Formats: sequence, C-alpha cells, structure tokens
Amino acid sequence: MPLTIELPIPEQDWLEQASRREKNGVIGQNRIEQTEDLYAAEWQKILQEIDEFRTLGDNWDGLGAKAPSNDLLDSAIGLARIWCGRDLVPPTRVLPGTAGTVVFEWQGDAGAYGEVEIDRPLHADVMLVRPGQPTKHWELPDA
Amino acid sequence: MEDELQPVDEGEFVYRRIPQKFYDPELPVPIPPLAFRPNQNDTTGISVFRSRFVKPAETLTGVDADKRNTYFVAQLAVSDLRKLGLTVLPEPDPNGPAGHAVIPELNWKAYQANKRDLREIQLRLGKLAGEGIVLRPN
Repeated sequence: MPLTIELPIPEQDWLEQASRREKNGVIGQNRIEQTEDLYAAEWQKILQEIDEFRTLGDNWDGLGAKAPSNDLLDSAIGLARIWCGRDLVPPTRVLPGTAGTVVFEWQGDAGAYGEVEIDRPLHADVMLVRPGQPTKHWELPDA
Repeated sequence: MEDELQPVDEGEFVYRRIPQKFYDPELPVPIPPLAFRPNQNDTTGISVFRSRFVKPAETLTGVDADKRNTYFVAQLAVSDLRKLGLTVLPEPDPNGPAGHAVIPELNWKAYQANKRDLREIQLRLGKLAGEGIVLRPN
C-alpha cells in the first residue's frame, strides 16, 4: 500500500491541476514521453477512464444513478495528476459512484485497502485500512 | 403483499444487485464498498430483496431493460448483516420485484452523517458479497 496517499494535498495545487486543459483532457503526451515515472502509463490509462466517465448520463446504471458532473471529473483528474507527479502507485481501479461521485481504490497485500471518494468538486473522503492498525479517515484537501 | 410485510427472520437471505463494473473477480475484494453506498434516492436505505419471495434473476426486472444483463446478484445472510449492526426492513414495492426490503442504517442521510463508520461496514459487505455471487451477466 503506497505511503504517498497520505501526503497532504494542498487545495491550491489541486485547483491548478483540475483547471489544466490539455489535448486529451488528461496528461499531455509530452509528459509521458519525457517522464521517467515508473507508473506514468498506468496513470494515463486511469486518467482516460475518468475522462470517459463524461459520457455517462444520469441513470447510467438503469436504477437512477446520478452522473458525475464535469467539475467533479476535472477534480478527479486534477487529483490523479498530483499523485502521478508524485509517482504514487496507480489505483487498482477507478469507478463512478451512483451518487455522482468518483472513487479511486487501491488493494494491497494482506488486506491493505485504500479508497478515495471525490463527492463534490475539490473535496474527497479518504479511508485507509492497514492490517493490524486502526483504520484512518481524513478529507482532502488537507493543506 | 401482506406476506412481504412480515418481519425479516435472522435465518433469511437477501439479494443485492451489483453493477457489472463494480465486480472484478481478480481482486482480493472483488466488490468495492461503493456497491453498498447509498445515493440520493436511497432515503429509507439501500435496496435488497428477500430470497423467500424472489429468485435472483427476478430482482433485475426492476432495472431498465437495456441494462439488465449488466448486473451480478450477490446473496447475503441476514445473520451476517446483523453481526455488522445492520437490519433489514420489509418495504414492498408494488411497482418492482417482490420481496423488496431496505437496510435502513445505510440510508442517504445516515451515510452523510456517519461516513467513516459506514464505509468500514461497506468494505466488509463487499467482502461478504464477493463470496456470495448467485447470478452473473449472460
């Protein structure tokens, strides 16, 4: 389970990353070509998945789910850009919630589990479970 | 309809519909806590269906027809829910599948007021549900 998920997320950094506009809406191609980041390609895939959530409409699940707003998706992409820049291990999966949220999930060895749910623009709830330790909860931004 | 109002017995089982994108059998926790997270429509609790009144496939008749084949159905023991501090209340829906019930502790307002505790419970529900898949998309 990555430790860097616990590094503070400054609100201003998040806002700047969420506001960036690039050709594909995620990470600019130059960054991928130039970077030596271990996980950059995996992050690119995650970011594209989030970008594709823009095609979800309300009732995407056939049971009345709310689609995530563009502002919330921009926030999800901005947060992912920050983590990518820190070489954080990419999430195991990223999912849309039925309440219009976006969830990043990490699953590690021996029951380690991390979840970050963006429930409104520039706000997220974090849960981090490590075996043998109390579960940690906090909110983002936290700096 | 009257039978459906009978209190839920500890020995019963309930079904929960799981969107296909929420299930990955390759993962240690195949179903995320998110699958048990209420949304704004879940004012009385998240929906489940009592197995004594409905078959797993019948729970999907409440889903829009073009998306019915994108769901898994998981079975949960009411006794396991109770161990997590959860209850099941009958809430028959004349316009939906038989046996509709809710887990009232997981209603929208309750979740907003107590996310931290309920997310941990939802994680445990995800683990339980991953062991109880009874219907898969064709």
